[in-house]
Amino acid sequence: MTLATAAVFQPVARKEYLDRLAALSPGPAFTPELWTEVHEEVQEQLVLLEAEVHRMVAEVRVDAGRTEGNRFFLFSYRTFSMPHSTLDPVVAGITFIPARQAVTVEADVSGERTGDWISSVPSKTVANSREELVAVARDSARKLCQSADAIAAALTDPSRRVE
Amino acid sequence: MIVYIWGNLTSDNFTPRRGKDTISRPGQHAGLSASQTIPPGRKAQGIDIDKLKPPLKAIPDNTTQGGTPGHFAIAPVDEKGEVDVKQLEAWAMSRGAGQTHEFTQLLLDAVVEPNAKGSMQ
Repeated sequence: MTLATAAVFQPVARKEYLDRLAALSPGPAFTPELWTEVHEEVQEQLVLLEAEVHRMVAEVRVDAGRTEGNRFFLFSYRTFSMPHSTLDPVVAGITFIPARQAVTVEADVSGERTGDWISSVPSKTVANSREELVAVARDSARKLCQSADAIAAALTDPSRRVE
Repeated sequence: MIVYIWGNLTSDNFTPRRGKDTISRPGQHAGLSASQTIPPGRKAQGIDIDKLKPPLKAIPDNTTQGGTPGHFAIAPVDEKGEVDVKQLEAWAMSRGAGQTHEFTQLLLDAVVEPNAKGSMQ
């Protein structure tokens, strides 16, 4: 009777082809640079929305901004407000929220303080790549650009006055 | 406990308004308003008040003195737990300046339910 033998292969240190492991990464690397790129992509699209709202409401004031927090990667937005008015400003923005090695992208137009919904884009979850994330951000921002009429109407709606 | 700041995640909405949120009322401290409820069909941002870092604190209204049930004021407090009016005023002064004040960021970092929706009754 012979004893069973087990082949033992010692690990071999190799540095070649390490780049191939990147294909197994569970999603894009969420670096500050990535979020700056996404923010800039969103704002580039929202310029068109600003121009369209300006065409309809000449006196509108528009401010671009971004915030971030521990539970959301980025909120990239433009705020539309009427100077010297108590009407609630309207915010067109996109939120990027972590979701199990993926990102949920939520885009909508709503009141800054009251949170009244003016329009929204169906949310999307992005898991695959930096390119896909930027593409979804661009697509969502373009869809928000279709809300110019609704934003103009909200900015002149007296029922939206706040304290 | 979760309280909700109604509206959006903008820097301005997370910063008190000078002359409005910096003034106390009967049963209600000065500070940024938050509520335990969201109006139906509205958007709000859920804050875990246990995640608020000093000097910020969420102070519930005193309903026996005219405050609103479920309403909180979020404000910087001193070592005695009283609203620090000077710090609150300085925070409010930063509103609309295009910069995110450190207290605004503390509040944004305490958001645990971004874009919460008020359920329709």
